[in-house]
Amino acid sequence: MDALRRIHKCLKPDGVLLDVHPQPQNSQIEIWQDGLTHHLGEIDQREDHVEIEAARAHLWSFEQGGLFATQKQGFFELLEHHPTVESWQEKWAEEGYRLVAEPELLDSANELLRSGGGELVIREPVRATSLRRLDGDGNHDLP
Amino acid sequence: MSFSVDRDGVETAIIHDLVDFDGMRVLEVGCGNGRLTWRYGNEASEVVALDVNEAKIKEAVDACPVELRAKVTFRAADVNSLDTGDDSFDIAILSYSL
Repeated sequence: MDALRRIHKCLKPDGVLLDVHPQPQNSQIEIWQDGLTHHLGEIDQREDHVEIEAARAHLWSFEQGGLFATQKQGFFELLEHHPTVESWQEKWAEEGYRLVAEPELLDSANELLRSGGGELVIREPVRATSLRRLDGDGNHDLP
Repeated sequence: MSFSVDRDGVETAIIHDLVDFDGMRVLEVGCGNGRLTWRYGNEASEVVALDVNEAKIKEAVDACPVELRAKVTFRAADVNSLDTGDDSFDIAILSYSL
């Protein structure tokens, strides 16, 4: 069974689905140092954007099928703080995330941290949506 | 200094603005190492948190705060293997897993 349909069944009538996922936008890379923010560039996450858009379309199909209705949305930036570039690379590798960034950008980050301390900060745009479960039977060709 | 996420609690504030967790029975899908679970677990009455990654579930179990252990259940499973009946949960969370 499709996971969203299973979730719909698990929820009580008038239950709430909270969906939290990244926006289809590249995350930004910064160095925070002595009260200053150095913006170095962004991570190429275009492959992830395709998946995110597909996932959104899937959720939207369930709304159109009368199974969920959006109540409210919130937008924020999820900040990851790393002491070193290596810490970031290791963490993302562990999570199975693709880390696609220009080598010059990573070199700049390393140089800034080596010379002045501070931390590397990844700024990831995120959307959170609360949806109310509806009692539709999903008779709109849903999976 | 070590790795940290959402140091200022922005994500926590947003999800609590969107959903009232107080006394609710929660299903979390894609819980990973429990990072989001800790942000609402205190308010929930019960949490079932799933992830297909067994290593992440083990991390979550090991890291679970003492005060949440009685009410949070982590399982290495996908949502279709849930053995709960229909209409069981007040809230379902898709945690960076849609």
